[in-house]
Amino acid sequence: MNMADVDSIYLFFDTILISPYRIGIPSVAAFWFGTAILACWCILFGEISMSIGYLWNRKYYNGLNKEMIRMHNISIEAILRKDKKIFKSANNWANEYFGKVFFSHAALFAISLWPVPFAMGWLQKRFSGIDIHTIPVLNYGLEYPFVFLSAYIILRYLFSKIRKNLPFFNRIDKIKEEDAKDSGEMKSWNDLVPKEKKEADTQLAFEESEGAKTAS
Amino acid sequence: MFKTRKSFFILAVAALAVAAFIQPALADRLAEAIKTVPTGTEPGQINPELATGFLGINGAPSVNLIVGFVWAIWVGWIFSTVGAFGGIMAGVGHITIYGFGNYASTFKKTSPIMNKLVTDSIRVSNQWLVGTSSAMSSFNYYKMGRLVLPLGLSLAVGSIAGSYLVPWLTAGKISLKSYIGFFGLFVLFLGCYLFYQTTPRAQKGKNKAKEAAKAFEATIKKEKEGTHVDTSSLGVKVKSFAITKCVFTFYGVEFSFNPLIPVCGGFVIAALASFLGVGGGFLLVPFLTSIAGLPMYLVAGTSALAVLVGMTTSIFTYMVVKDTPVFWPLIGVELVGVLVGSFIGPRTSKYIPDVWLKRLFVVLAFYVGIRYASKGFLGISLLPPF
Repeated sequence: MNMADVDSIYLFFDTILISPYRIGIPSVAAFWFGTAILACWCILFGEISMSIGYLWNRKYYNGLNKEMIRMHNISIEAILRKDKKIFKSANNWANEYFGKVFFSHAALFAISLWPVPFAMGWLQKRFSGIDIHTIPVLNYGLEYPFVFLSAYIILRYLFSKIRKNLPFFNRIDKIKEEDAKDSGEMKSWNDLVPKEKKEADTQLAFEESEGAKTAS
Repeated sequence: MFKTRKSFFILAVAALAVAAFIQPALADRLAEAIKTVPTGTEPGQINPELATGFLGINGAPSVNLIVGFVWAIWVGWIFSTVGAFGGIMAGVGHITIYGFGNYASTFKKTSPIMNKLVTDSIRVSNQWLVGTSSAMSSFNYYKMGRLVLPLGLSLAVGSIAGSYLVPWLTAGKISLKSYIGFFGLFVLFLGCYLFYQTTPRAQKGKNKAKEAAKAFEATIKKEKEGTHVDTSSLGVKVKSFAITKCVFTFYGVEFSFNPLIPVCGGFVIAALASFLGVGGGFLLVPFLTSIAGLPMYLVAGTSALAVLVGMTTSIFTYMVVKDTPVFWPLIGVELVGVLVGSFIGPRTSKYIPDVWLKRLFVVLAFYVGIRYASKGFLGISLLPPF
């Protein structure tokens, strides 16, 4: 695969990607519109890839999660019983599993980004050197990365809000919820606090917030 | 109370991000940078008769997308099975495999502008490869009380300060050569540490710890509910604090740690991250888990915050940077490689035990470490490619 191949792929997609930029509205608005459409494509393909990746490795991720939560819960119980040695061993194992969980999530996140560099490459070829906006006072121009990344971040956030209403993604979310339930519940340090003390604290917090309300 | 803490948290993160790019990252246009480089056939000069390579510069190393793709599969595989060190591997790939590091250093004397531009380009490439957890997850951890804010912030401050301070302090004093040497030493140290973890002795210790934890789990299951807790010792209570030793009780169990460790650790991680042009998150998780020995419950949130700050910084810096030339197809192909590697990784872990993956990594770490250290300090590489 050499540069010529990359160029021919670009030409094919170029025709499809450039059309939203030519809908005949003022140029800045058209640029935002076209870039937002491009960002939508990136989000859609990225999220689909991430979901497939999750489904493909589901068993493996669940196994890691379960072991992590289990070892963590043992470490909490150990502290509760003042057993320092067990706490340390269980915590080391919990950390080991957490490391794996953390980086497998990082890899999944990276997967969801794969269309972005290709989009950036296309934008660079098309719009490099053009200032879309200028920051007043500083007189500093902002180019395509500013527009694309702003659009991408905002749209990805909005996408996370409407996911549950979309056919394929709501199934994935349900599967994820089931998996989380299946992994067991992680004990928190609050579980170490005896019940009567917890109730007293909640009461106190409630009184504080009520007091704040009346004061304001 | 919570409201003010929440706003403090958001303000702190915002302040950090602003502090990070107070120095506006004005990348020069590639064409202007090329103009500053003398033409000729010597290293550090551009020979217009040669074919174009990286970023379309005449005579620059040409990037092979297939090599990039295969390398990224390996990175994704490491990421999804061994856990850490995927970031280091990504950095090594960009510096060595593609020869960008050497190429950038040839311009050190002839054209500092060009040197900076190529280095920036490598950096951006690395940051794209190690993107991680989002703002939401840090925030949720914070709400769950699972964030050691002082530690997370000091690590984040360290990493931002480090990424600006280290190059500034060492500017002109440390050549890229000795940098490469130090990087090699670090990778060697990492290799030794991992090698120890794979020795039968360490393995036995770990297995024993797991057995003990399981036995303990079995005994508590037999116990009755409602074990009495000594309420006088709830939470963390600091007993004594000195510059090298802080003793505290945690639910009545005594622990001690050295406060200098997070500070130094943060700075070392920052120094390395700034040199490699990666976020530092990849070093942070192993650091918090194995060296600092924090409870897992807290490590999660703390590392997420530090990664978030690093990510925010790089995204916003990139947003206002003008035209840092990046060879995007390479990064895209690399991310697809990570995707493939993540698909393969968990499937192979059934057949290749963790220990062997780590040993494979140790061999690589020794190879990279010896090669970089000898190249940096002796001026010749003891291992191929010379």
